[in-house]
Amino acid sequence: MAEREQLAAWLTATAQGDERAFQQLYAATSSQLYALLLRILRSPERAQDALQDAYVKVWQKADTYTPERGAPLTWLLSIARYRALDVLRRKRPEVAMPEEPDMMATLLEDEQALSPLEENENQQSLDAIRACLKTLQPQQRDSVLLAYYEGLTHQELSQRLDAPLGTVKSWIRRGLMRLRECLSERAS
Amino acid sequence: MTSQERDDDVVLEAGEYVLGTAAPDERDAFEQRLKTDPAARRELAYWERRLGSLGLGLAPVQPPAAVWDRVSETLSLGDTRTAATPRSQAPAANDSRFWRGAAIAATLVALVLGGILLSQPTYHHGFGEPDPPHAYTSIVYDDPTGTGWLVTAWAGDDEMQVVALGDYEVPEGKVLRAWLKPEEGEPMPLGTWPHSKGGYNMTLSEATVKRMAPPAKLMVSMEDAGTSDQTRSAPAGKLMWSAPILSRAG
Repeated sequence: MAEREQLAAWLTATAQGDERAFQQLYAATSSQLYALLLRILRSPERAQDALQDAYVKVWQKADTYTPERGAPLTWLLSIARYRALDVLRRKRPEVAMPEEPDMMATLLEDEQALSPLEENENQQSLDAIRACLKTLQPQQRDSVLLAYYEGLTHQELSQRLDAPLGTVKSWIRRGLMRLRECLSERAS
Repeated sequence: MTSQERDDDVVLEAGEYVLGTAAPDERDAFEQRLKTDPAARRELAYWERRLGSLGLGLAPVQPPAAVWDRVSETLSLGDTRTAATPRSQAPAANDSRFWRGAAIAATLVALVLGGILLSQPTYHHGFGEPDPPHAYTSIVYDDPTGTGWLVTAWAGDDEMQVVALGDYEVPEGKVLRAWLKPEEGEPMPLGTWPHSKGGYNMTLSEATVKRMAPPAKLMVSMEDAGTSDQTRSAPAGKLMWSAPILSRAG
């Protein structure tokens, strides 16, 4: 069974309360989530706490995963990253995993979201975003990557990049729009 | 507002929500929007898929087995304690040297992906945690080929770690050599620079360790093979790359 299908099968079984499947899912994916958490949180202790919280959330939310939401590993990474943002912004209200009761119906309306993903979609997906990041202006690319890998806010980006807040916001927004355009062009 | 502007609006709101740059009030507003707006949910899923793939670019790091035990205990699972350890046991993640290396490897892909952090100032830890060991980093990036090297030297260590992301073709009879260019004075030889993908340790002299701090630079030159860099006070061949050395917390 291909990795995507295996992970999806474990997720489905996890949603049904299969502890063994959850355990296998953890063994197969936790090192990737931990790498991201270490990168963002920069502390083994905090990364391990966040990893624990993330998998508790996975156990609780596994039933909300559908293949249309992307590769299982990417979905798991999103959960971990939301948790890392929670930790970084501890004084702010929690970034909750959004509830999406109508997600499936919504996605059915979206042709792009329905496109079948390849077996090696993880690599393809990474290649696509890397290629599109290269088309961004350097400041736009720096802002997006620093925000992703370090969880920086606009204000923190402004300080880090020594640029006015409005300028940083503009870099992020233009960078995201350009990314969206480029990724759409590659998908078509 | 035109329909196109409304479309752009939801694209950006979702993108910033996933990226984590949205302000608290913007985030709250978007979460409200998610409850009623299918387009917002669609965009959220889109960005989670797309930006989420950036996390795939990091080298995996095995967490300690205790994390699974805690997960299992929190959820009151059955007898699965420590059973989730993968088949090939990685080095203990709480080993500081291993963790530092793993963090470097995980960081490298992110750094080289955009070649971005050359201008990154010192990272400051928050949350009242003690400062980690001080480190010097530098990223050498060859634009035409996309080959990148991440260099890390830790305060007090006489070794410098170099991780080469790819292979760089060196003409026959030539060799790459690294140099430390302190703020003042002549370049100091660091040794042969790796041109094949992999991780390397380069031994540093006491003199170079002392002068590693910014605004020193790391330089790499192409030299004739067979000539000893130790006998030179400056590169004789073509200067290939020069990169600033950054000071940062580990």
